[in-house]
Amino acid sequence: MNRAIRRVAVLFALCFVALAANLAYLQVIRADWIVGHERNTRNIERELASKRGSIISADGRILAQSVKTGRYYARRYPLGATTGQVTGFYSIKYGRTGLEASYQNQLTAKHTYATARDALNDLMGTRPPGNDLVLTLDVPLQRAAIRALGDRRGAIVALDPTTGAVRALVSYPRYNPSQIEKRFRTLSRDKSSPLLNRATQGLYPPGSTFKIVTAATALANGTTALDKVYEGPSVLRVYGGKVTNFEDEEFGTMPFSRAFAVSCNTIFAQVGLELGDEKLVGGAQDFGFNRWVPFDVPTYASRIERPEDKLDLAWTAVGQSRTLATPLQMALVVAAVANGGTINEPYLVDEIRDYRGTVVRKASPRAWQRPINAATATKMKELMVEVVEDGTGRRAQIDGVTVAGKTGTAEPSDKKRTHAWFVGFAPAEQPRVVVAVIVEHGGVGGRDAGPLARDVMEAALR
Amino acid sequence: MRTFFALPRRNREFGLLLFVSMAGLLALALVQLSRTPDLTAASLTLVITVLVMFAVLHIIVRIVAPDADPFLLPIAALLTVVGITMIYRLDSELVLSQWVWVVLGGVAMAVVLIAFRNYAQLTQYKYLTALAGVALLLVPIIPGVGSEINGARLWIRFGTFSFQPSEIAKLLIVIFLAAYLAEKRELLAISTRRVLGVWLPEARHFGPLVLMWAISLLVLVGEKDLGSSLLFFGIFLIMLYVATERGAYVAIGLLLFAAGAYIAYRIFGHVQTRIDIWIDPWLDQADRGYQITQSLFGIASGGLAGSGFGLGSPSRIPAVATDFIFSAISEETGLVGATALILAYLLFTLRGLRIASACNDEFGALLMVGLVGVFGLQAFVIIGGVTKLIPLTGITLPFISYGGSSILSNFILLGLVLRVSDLVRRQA
Repeated sequence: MNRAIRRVAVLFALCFVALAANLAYLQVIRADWIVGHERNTRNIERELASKRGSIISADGRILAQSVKTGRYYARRYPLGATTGQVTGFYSIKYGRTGLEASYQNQLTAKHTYATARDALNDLMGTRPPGNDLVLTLDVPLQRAAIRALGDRRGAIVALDPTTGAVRALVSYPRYNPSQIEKRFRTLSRDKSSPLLNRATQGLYPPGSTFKIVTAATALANGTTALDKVYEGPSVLRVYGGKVTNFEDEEFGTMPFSRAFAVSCNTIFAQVGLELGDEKLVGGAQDFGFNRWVPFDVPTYASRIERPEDKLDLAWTAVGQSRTLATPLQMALVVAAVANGGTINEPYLVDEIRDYRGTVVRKASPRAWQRPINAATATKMKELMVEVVEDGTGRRAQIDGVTVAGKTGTAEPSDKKRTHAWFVGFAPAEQPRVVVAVIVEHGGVGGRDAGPLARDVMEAALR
Repeated sequence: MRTFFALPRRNREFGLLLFVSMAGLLALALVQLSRTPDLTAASLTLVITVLVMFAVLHIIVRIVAPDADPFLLPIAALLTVVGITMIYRLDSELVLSQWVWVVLGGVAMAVVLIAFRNYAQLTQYKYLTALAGVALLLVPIIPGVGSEINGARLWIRFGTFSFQPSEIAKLLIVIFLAAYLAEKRELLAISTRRVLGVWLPEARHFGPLVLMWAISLLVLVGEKDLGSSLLFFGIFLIMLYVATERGAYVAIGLLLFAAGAYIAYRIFGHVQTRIDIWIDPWLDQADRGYQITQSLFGIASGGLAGSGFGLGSPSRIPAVATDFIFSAISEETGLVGATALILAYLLFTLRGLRIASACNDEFGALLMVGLVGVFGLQAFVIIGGVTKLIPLTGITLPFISYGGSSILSNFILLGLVLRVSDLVRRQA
């Protein structure tokens, strides 16, 4: 019998080793997956009992912080709707959005310990306070952009082209994240989508602002030149259809540089046809279209489709057809011109600090796309300065500052009133700020978006 | 004649009990401190009285079973104290009745040790034992007597008092099997006929064993008790294998069990449910997979070192004080504590098997294998179940889970195991 008893003993030992191994798998190897499972409600309790990191603006204002009320912490947003779409909201019931969502691990200091004692405390069940986020967002500039936009639906982006630091990010209608628990149902059903961050997730036809992409690509490919002369009729017949100018204006003979300044569709249709669909789409992709923009809050990719025929190509070159862009994307297109051809990755979080104030991570500029070379960028700058000095963008002029820009009056798919765009930068000699403005169904770009951009640039340079 | 104090095994046992006492007091103090900032003596008395009881049991062992194995009583004390602490942490009302059962268990164990000086007495009425065991096992099936709790019909109820007779039945059936197999092992080992390429002994010797299989299935079908069914059939196979040393019996047994289990899977919804949620508990997390996934959430959140006593949220797991108590311990003491517990069960089982292999007489060896086998198997089945290593079957975790019949039967089991080990050492 002893041989059999020994075998039974070995069997028991193996079974119990299997128990311990499985337990190690559950508690160590697979633990993060299980604990992070969406149906696991016990995280919430633990999360509420520990202090979440604050979100602080570049000028030192607190945008989000955790305040202890009884056993748990409550999330407060002192500036409310001013920065609501940037911070996003944090709610047990409705989840997380904005920075609250994308920086969840930092804000809860998950697996990041300032001291060995914190690691020990975490092991014993007390989480250390979360890390703070210090943003590139500048509250006075954010307020200036909010004032400029007023109660018009739309969005404004302001960023530093030399680094990619986003200094203002405004979207209207907006919401106050402090009231999310009470108002979520109303907000989420509201037809005007106040929860949507239009600056990064609003997709609009770019209209004539897209001519920056067309012009830069054509110049870079040598299919056109600043002084190349074109005929600009009020209607251009292409492939059984027609391309028309805004208000059917007749431009006559003019060089390419002038056609950009007055935003002549019939000439840009010709430029597009010369360039060809492959190069135009390729150029747009180099500027960031059809790519996901790496950013600190959720973005939608802007898109351009390959034109179906010559007529479609002509319309794509003037920024209509099926092309869609976010305001952030158009700001990045301008950033390429302002920054010698290089687009830096946009970012909002400048610094991450642990609760003792030690900097854990510091943002540094990183090149994202390089669609054009410096020479082409210089030519484009010339073109864009001309737009503001003596073209469609005169209303964006600032005394004593050379402003560069491009207007856009985009036809929405629903044929309602046109969207008004203005994208630009200043000072042209040494760009410090890029601004992109869209006013939904706002009218004509130069007239209805230009002054808004001017106000924001002025505030940014102050 | 050796003196009361010059017993090296008992002195080692005493040392281990002291260690258990410190661990137990510390654990309960931690639970209490997690609730109120001040430590009061009132709650500590819960553990102190249990430790005093073990000290008394130690003295009784010293007198009536001086050569018994020194590890078994301290392991049982550790498990009991962990159980009391954890139940106190989960439900401070429930722990009072658990405490009463522990004390009754201690008394039962003392009675066993004092009454049975020689375990050979147990063989005298082996068929009566078997009958009593089977009757206890099947009594909950009788309408009006048995009551169904959580889909399984394994309790009998007298007024407010409910009792799970299968816990006692398991001891009686192990005693019967040990006696029967010790007597018939040679006959069973001799093969006279060949069936399907396997040599089998004569049918009349085999009959009772087939009956065992049928009873297991009846438990499964009549009481919907997967756990007990698995336990009875498993211990039956282990004892049969040890008695005959024939792997073919195990193979046949496993095939029979697999066939029975497959049919049960096809026919019975509750068996199907258990298998389905074992394969993928996340598919129906909110409903059928709720309990096991809550268990997994708890276990996983424990991590390496656990949340600490009283600092986790094990109350989210349904049936946490009974079947799922291991999940609560894993959550609050982590991989370190839970593994220690697994090792304690393994150590108890292996000590018992070692004593069995040193035993000169066949009944003693088989009894020991059966007792620690059923103990180890039960721990494996429920720990494996709540950690999703094997399909979940609701049985208690020996010495830890809340439940009177379980505590009582485990203390009796401990008494018998100590008695066998004492006699084995004295023979040597």
